[in-house]
Amino acid sequence: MLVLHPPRRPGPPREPPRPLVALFGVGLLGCAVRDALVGRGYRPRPLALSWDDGPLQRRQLDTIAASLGATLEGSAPGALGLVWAAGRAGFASSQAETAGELESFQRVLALAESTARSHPEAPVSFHLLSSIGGLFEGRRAIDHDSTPTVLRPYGDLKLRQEERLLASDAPLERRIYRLTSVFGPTPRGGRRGLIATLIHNGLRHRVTRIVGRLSTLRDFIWTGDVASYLVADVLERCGQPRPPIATLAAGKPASIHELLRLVESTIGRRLYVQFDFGLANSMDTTVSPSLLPAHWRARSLGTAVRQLHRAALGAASSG
Amino acid sequence: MDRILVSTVTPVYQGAATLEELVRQLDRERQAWDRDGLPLELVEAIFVDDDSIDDSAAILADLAARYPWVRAVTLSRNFGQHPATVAGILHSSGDWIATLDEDLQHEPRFVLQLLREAVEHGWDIAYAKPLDHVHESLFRDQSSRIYKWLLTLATGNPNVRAFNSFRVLRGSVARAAASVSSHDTYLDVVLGWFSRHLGTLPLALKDQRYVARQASGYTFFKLLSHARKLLVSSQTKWLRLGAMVGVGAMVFSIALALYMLGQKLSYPASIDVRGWLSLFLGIVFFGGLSSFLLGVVLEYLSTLLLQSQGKPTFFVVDRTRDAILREFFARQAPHAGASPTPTPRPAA
Repeated sequence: MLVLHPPRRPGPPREPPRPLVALFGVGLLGCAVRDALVGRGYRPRPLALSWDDGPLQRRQLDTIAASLGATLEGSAPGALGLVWAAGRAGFASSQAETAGELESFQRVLALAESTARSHPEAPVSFHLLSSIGGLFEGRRAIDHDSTPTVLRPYGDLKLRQEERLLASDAPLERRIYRLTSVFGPTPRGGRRGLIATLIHNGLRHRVTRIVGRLSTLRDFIWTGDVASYLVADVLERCGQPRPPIATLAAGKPASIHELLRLVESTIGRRLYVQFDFGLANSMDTTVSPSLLPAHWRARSLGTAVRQLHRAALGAASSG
Repeated sequence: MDRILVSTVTPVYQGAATLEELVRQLDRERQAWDRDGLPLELVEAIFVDDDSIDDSAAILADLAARYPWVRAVTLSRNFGQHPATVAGILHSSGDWIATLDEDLQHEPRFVLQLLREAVEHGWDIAYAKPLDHVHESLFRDQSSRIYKWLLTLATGNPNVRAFNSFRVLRGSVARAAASVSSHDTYLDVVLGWFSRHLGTLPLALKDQRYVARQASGYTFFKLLSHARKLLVSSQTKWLRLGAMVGVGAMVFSIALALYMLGQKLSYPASIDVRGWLSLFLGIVFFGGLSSFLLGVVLEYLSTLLLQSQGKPTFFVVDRTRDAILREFFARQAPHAGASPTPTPRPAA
């Protein structure tokens, strides 16, 4: 995990101090959030946190809590924002795998709650990145009237995480971001999303295995857009009255066929693909634009695919 | 209940006078489906503002605020009816998509009939076919018919006569076709690349705007542009005719050369003027060869063009969920109206 310290400003402070940010998980989304904060002058400091060893994780979280408390008692930051972008579980994960992740989440939430109680002078906000796909798998045109119907342990995990956060009685500001299919530059050693994989394999004439059909509908959003929205929430919109759940989606479905055509025309090569129908997460999931929050702007799929292609070419040429 | 989702797509250019009424009719239809227990839901009505020239944009914003299922998509400039329809289709997520004009020519109450015909016949595309004179003008209606007949002849595509902007499309097929449609392709031709399961249903349609003003939105130059798009998007079979004429000329010249050689050997005295025949045969042979080679080159170009336009090698379609509607309709009384017409399926 990373603790991100706000930028130091020389001279007497002319505006309220910026919050300290604790980022749990530096995968596809976590890296985008980190980069957005670094772009605003934040300084990242990595702290060790095990995801596999429960007792060790507890001890490490105690250290992290002490470190955050010491920083909050210092002069610089005025608030603390905790961002949960962690999670290795996916649509194919078993109940046992998701149970471990839920425990880790509860420990981090407990850390946030105790920090909020022990530092009433510093507003603490908790930002949970959740999943539309997990909560509404196989549902189309999801809108305000739609209620989650989970079909597998992954969806259950996301639902429980949301419920635990919303049920917290600590003086926390709670924000949940329900995301559709995210894609963006792959962090070093991280998992590649579908679009990054299509570009990566397409450039190398390799076969890509797609879980779904040509007609399967998805709603793709760029990690950078999510990070910008979330960071603005953490830094600028905290304390403002708004609903606790924000759905971040493009609001424009894209079929796998459309995506393949778009990637082919962007990279200028034919894609080799293999379809798996029977596996997890092969159903349509789309969102009605009426559900999207104000201030949220999603770039077009075409623009994002071209950006990703350029990044992939840059990564390939640099080694 | 497992419901079939329906989206509607309407390109908007000057719909200020009719949009409110169109949405009202769609709402009425939506409520009727719900009230009658149909396994159908009109999940979204997508209006694509094609840089409209009247107050349509403001009216759409107001309608979208009042009806949560109304969605307004705004194009950055005027792209035309087909690109606007393509944009709407690509924003949809329904199992079926109905495309309607903004001017109330296509009444939402007919969507159910078109849908019924489609599922009962296993079609992916159901076009509305005007029962009588749409424009109430003999000249306009006849010129429209002749125009379509000429285009059918030129493209070799018998479906051209069925093409109509009031259609019900299987969502997966429509989105796939829309995703390969470029600015210069004709959406209905591209739909034919993905499915030949289509037919028409005769319906009483009226172009109210033309009837009222006696002026069509389709100018002569717009029709020419449509025809050009249709020809460019179509399989250019007539190119083969050129190649075949070339081969015919070559065969004719060789046969004639053999005949004349025989005559020269058998009856040398019968040839009075020397040289003209070899010149004639040379022109016919090389003219034929040039035509043939040009035809071959054009065939290659045509193949490359269609490939670059996105003509698919294959596409997979799932029609199993049609059974939900078929079973529902089977329980209903047979519906009134003219009998539908499946259009002929041209060879791939």
